[in-house]
Amino acid sequence: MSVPAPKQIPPELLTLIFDQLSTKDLYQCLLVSRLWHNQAQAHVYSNVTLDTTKRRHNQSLVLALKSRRHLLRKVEWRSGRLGSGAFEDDLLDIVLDYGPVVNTPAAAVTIPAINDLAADKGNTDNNTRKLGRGHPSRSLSRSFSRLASVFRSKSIQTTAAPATTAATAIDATTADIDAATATDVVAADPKPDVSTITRLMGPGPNRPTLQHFTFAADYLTGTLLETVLFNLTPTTLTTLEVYIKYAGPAQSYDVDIEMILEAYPCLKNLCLDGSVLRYTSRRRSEDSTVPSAFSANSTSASFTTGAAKEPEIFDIHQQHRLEAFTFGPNLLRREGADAFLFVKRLGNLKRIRVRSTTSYAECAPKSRPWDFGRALKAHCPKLESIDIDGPVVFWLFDLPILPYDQLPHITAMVQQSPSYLLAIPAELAQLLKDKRLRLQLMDEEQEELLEGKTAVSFFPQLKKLIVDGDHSLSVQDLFSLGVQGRFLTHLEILRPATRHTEPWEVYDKDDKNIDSAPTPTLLSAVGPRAIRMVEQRRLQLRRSFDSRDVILFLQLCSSLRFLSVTGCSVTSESLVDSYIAALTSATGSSTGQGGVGTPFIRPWACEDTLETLKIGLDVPPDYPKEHHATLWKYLGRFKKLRHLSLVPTLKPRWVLIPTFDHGVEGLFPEGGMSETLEKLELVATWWEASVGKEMVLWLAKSCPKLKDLNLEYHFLFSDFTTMDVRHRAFLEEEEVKKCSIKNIDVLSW
Amino acid sequence: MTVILVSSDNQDFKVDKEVAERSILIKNMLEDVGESDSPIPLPNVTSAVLTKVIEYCEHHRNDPVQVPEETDDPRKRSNDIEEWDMKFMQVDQEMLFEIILAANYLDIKPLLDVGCKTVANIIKGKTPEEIRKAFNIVNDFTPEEEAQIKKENEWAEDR
Repeated sequence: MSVPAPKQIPPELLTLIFDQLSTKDLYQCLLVSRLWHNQAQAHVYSNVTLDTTKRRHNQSLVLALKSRRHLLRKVEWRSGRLGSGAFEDDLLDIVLDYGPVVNTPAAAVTIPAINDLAADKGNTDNNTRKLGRGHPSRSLSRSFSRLASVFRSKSIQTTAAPATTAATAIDATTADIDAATATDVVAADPKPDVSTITRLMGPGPNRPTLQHFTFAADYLTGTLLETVLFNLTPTTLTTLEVYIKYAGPAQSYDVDIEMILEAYPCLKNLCLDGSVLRYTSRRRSEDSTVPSAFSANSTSASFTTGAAKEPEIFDIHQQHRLEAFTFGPNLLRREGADAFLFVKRLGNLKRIRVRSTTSYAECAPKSRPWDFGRALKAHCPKLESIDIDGPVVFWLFDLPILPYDQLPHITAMVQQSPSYLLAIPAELAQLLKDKRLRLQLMDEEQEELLEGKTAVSFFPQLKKLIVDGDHSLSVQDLFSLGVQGRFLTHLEILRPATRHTEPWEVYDKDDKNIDSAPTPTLLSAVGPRAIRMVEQRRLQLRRSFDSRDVILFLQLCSSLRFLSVTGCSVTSESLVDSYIAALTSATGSSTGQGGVGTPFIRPWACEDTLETLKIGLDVPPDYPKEHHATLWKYLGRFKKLRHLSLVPTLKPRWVLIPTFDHGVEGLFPEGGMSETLEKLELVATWWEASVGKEMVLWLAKSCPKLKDLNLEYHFLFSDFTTMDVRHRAFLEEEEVKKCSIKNIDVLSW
Repeated sequence: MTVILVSSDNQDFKVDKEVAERSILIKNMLEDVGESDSPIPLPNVTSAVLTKVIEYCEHHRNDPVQVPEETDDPRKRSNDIEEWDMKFMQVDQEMLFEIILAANYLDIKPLLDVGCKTVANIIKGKTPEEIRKAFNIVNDFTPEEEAQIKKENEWAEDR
């Protein structure tokens, strides 16, 4: 009996399936059948990366793309440090459909004849040309005829935005072209510079309708970037990513956000990354002739000339569609009343990312985080995600500067002097007095923040916060977030806060109370150190946080579902500190960590909501076993955890020990995470080679849903190779291979 | 609360509302209609396929709503199929395609994803001839056309 042939894949599903395949697999699909070829081709050529460092690879791709521009939706252009050479022509040809002109001496250009212009006109309406036909290489006269038409259109449409001008230019080539005008252009400037030509030329009829364009290069390719940006289809582009990695010696790279927003009204994702970027505004610029969204800030750069009319194509009061915006630290250095005026149109903004590779010494002094925060608060009510990586002074809360007339209690604090200080030398007494004052001021500030009255959130809808690199998230912002972050579900602190002093010296220079004078009583009552401390408090200067601050935050924030604090050390002392304090206040005497009594850990507010917990608990080497057990038992209180990682990224020597001796079974109480846990990451250095199998089988039995187990072994004092082999041996055991945990990874270092 | 779904071959399926609402199509229909006992006709889904779809929705009734990550690249995700889902998808090819079509029609994104990933996993690493064999496809290219395609797309072969 013959088996019936299986039904073939419906064509409408092919596109969904091809979404899951790599380019290499799609290549095989191209050769299956005609139907598959057509569908796969659309996928292969919809998203391409042109990496100029891979020349051989690109030649074949570039050739193929020239006849498949219509399929392109996303292009990533990546060039090396020394520019991209001949591939610049290819990029222009592929994404704009015009021939190589960038490197052509302008002086060699000849004035087009009327016949050339007329011939070009015949080819202008070819946006619907058949696929794969390609086009003959254009002559310079053809290119120049387009220049003439664009110039003409510009002379009429003086209010057009750059990209719109380019788009209009295509239409203009279909209209009657006045050959005399073209001649006039060249006659007026017989040696126009290259960038003027490329910018004014406009794209060809087969320009792809890109939705996503990424440009990662250095300043040498600035003209290329400008040319491309000037001519992309403004109404289809939804993602624009620009990474300028290097600006050359003593150069910055200017970018005009206002102009980009006006030129590309459909953008949803905008990334202007690179610490060399300087966010200028043509409207605000002294040089009102700068017409381009991008330009190198160099005296030799010649492409900042051209039309200077204000673009008015899009209503500036209309809300822009932008949802995600990535920028560098220099954006926060804009000055003036209208520095962040562009934010007014960003009512749909949901996510911001700040990427910085600069130093605090450079970016902190002129940063205006208060101004930026207030602008975002006022105009971006949907903002819910903030991702910060690297040095940037960024605040989450507005902390108004305190006027001196509200500080009499501080004066009193300063004047208070416990009687025991009278019996010791004056110098030492002053030191102790200053230290006491510092603690009093910090306590007072903490009390205020925990009451949630003084700090005003810039981002009341914040759901997700990620800080990485040399960030400057302050303890003030952290506490206020704990109290007021009602919607915060995702927090990642991937690195410790910066140790540099510059970001902690920034204060709101626009506050009306900044210049209020200290009272004579205060001045006469305190020494210079105390004055400085009072001033820090008054100006609400931010400061870094430590392990205890993180724990206090976790006791406050009740909505978290994802928490990763692998970047800063969370010590066991900070967790049991509450126990000591509680015991001290109850009995009037303190017990050490190894002291008597039942260890107590104050509960975290997110115990019932947390689904992912990544934390590196740092415990001292002599930490008692019963305290390990307490910590395991405490972690067992998280009922909904699906992913638990106890592997710190900072690699401390001592972490929570996962053995029965240390009470690891406390992790899985009845009704706890054993029903939900899918992934577990542990440091298993303390497992004897013989117990690996036992522990894995116990974990598998305790957590039926556990599928991924990542084990790290830290061999600090042992012979690495021998230990590594011994500790991996259990992986070969038949029972381990057959257990319900499918992926067991063992990493040694 | 339960709802009644009617397959294309007129078979009734009584399911919990929260299970049925894994389908965005049904969820929207219920929201539009409001409180009603009227059965919901699903003319594009046979009873055999609907049985499978309901089995999937029952199993995933408590799953959190899927939120796509901003940087989620589908090409990097095709290996992450849960064990239960993998077993669930161990059906003949015709049923597999029917499930995917039903998931598409009923707007059940996670099921659609799993179905497409399953088919993608069949394709991965195979030569054109092996793919043809796996899906019963006839090669309708001439040798010259095949050579031309290979030449034109040479760059993609080792990416």
